[in-house]
Amino acid sequence: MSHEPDSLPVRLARLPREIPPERDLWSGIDARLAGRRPAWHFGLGIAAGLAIIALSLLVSVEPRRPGGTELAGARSAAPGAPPVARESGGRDANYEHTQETLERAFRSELRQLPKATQARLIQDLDVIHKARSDIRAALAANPDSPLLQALLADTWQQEMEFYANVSSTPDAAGMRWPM
Amino acid sequence: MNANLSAVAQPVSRPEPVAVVLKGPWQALGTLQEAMRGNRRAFEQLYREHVAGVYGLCLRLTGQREAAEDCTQETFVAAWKSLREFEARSSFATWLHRIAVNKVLTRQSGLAARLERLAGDLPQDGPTDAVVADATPALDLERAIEGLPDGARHVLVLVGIYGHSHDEAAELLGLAAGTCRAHLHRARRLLGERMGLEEQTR
Repeated sequence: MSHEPDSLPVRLARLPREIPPERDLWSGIDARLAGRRPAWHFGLGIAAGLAIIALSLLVSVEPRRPGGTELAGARSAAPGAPPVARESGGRDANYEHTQETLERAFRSELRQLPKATQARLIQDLDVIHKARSDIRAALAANPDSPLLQALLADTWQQEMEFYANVSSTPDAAGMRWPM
Repeated sequence: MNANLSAVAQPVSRPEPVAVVLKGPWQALGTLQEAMRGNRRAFEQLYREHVAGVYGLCLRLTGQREAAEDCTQETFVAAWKSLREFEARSSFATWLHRIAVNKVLTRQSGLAARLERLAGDLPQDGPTDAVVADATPALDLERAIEGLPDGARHVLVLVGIYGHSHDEAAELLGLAAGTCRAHLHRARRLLGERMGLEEQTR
């Protein structure tokens, strides 16, 4: 005679997998979520940001006026972002000091984050550096291109905003790239 | 009246926008995407859909209602924080379960769990009077599972109730596959003894 229908594995498999909690747990969760947002994938954000900048330049760029006024200098930076000196005009001491300060703060914040988040942020920073490197290579072949000069300067802006975001956000998991 | 002329005379109007109502898995996908964009209402909906599964798992893994509630809350908070890391290689429920198992293990390895043990509110080896006296077989089984040692209970719950393979359970629990099998064998033997069944292995 077989006991298979009442065997322990069968009885275990029959137990319900879902058990509703006796009290609503959402209010406690919701209170802890306040002020946090899901972690944003910075690589995508930065890539998208660069693409939008490139696109906006292509759409709005005007031919250089006689006298050689700087092309992208008149465009306003993101609110709260540090001032950016254009690479073509040289990065002045103030700018470099600001960048160094932000970078130091970023490195310090980075050490306190989980390893996975650290890796992701470094990866995202690499995206900016890679973009800058590519643009520099293109500029070497075409040094007078105002578009490439503006794009190069924008990578500095992106990097500064990146540092500023990480350093000023209490919980890096809550950061979003400004789009 | 010329029908064609009548049609031409009608003012051209834009078609009314059609509301697309997503259902089933597509609706769930939409909710998930909304939550990933930071919509807490959407995340609350995901919570409502999955809380019974997560709580059930936590309750069976911990054997304690309060610990299960804490672990469930920790699971959803952690899920919210890393929601964008969910890549749909597994189902959302499976992803939540993975987080829940981690939360339970973290909690049980901590000081709080040790103190709770010292307080003696979790039976370990040996059925309680309530288990022996209870006449409902399903409840008997639930209580007998609660009384299992942690390692044996974890493997039994994941493999026996939630249907994970030995390898999956071993990975979730951070154990070697052999250790996982040994725990399961022990769990079934203890349960069999306590439930008055012959040892059942598969």
